[in-house]
Amino acid sequence: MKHQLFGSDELEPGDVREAQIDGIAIVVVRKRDGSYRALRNRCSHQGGILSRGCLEPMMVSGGVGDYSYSAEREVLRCPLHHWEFDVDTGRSPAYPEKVRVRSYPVTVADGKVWIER
Amino acid sequence: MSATDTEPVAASAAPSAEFVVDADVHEYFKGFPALARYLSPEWARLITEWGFKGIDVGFPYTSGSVVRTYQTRLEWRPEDEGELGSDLNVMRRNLFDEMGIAIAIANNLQVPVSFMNGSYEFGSALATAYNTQVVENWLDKEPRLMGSLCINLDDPAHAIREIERFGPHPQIVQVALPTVVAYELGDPRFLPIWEAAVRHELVLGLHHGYGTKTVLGYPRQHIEWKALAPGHAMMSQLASLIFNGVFDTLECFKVVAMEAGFTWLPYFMSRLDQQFVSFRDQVPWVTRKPSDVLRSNIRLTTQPMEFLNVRQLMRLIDEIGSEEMLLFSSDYPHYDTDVVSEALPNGVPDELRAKIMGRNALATYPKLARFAGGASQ
Repeated sequence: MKHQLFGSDELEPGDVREAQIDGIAIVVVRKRDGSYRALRNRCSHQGGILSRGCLEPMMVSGGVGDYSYSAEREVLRCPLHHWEFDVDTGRSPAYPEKVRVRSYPVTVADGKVWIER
Repeated sequence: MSATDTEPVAASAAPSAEFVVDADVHEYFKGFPALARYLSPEWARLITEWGFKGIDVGFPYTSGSVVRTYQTRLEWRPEDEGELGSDLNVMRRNLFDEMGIAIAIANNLQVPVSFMNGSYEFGSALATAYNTQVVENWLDKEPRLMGSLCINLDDPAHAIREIERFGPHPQIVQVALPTVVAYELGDPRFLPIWEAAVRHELVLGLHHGYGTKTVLGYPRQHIEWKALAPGHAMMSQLASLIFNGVFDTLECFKVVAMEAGFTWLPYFMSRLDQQFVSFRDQVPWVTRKPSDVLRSNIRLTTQPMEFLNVRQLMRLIDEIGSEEMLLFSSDYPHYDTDVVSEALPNGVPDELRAKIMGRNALATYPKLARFAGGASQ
């Protein structure tokens, strides 16, 4: 079921906003490319509120000693223990098979941001 | 010595019926004067004329274990009354006949050249001399004995030349290093050494030496050093190799951690994984979580077997998530040599026991794969 959240021009790229859908805490982020993503707003570790953390480009590497910010991938970092979650998947890049938060499909239509849950 | 003095003690008298690979035994050359003939005259004079007797790393302890072992393990004594482990015929009898070991992997503790101060060129010359003599005096005379190359971390180009020179020998199965504390083995400057090892199907074996230290250095008591230094230094070097991406660059590179214990593995895996979830961005070249790297690339020898009953061992195997990580070792001819038939607790399932006692080793050292037929009998 789709839920309307807010106007699509209310968030700038890099912005993060909290939302509530059916009593579920959601965090909506707008990536640098302007697209939206939505995750459960509770860290799977100890319940940190992800919307109070940092939205960052994901650190990737071409080899030992090389640090590069990914042009496409971004992570939301929990404020409690700095666990990172890929906003595209909700999964930790370090431990994707076990450490994850739920992600939700987000669409933009009629000038509004919609989330499906 | 009376005739009865040479009777083997009961604990090592029963040969094993199972296929056993011993991943940590020590062979000794007969002192530095004997090594001198494998050196050029220019380097040999340091031994023959100037009295060099070995590498002084400043080890402050005298534990008594060497003397006690010499006094009590009479069946291990060479006929020439030399050091234990310095006579191939005695080693053959002890390991293969009495202990029933099928294959023994030897590493040497007399030339820890990576601990040397001063001229690294002399250290490299000693490494070459050692490698030459171990092939000539041991491996070429005993096909069941595998050997380890000595290399000098102070001289990486020389280390690579040694691997290229001796690596093709079918019984050279690993490069052995003391668990050094002055270098991080994950430092990229050493990567060409590990690449050379992989090219020649060699693993890296790490074993503490007298220069290995705890995080406190050399503690006041030897027992503190013996209990902690091997594990402290081993964990540090494994973390260095993992977080500096050695196993991401060389996916098939294997490291055997010898005589450093293994009951710390669940802690180590959990601790590294936990830190990785928070700090992966500091080492973005690491593409697998540390516990996965440990499971795939690191093996640990069993001796000295820590206090474990079968329930505790099975729980540990469950916690580390692998039956492939442990390799039986005896540590012959040291005071705490484990007994083949008694090293593992009673009740270990046959399949797991066969892996630890031999099959895991065959899967670890690429050159031992040719013995796989023996393990399945």
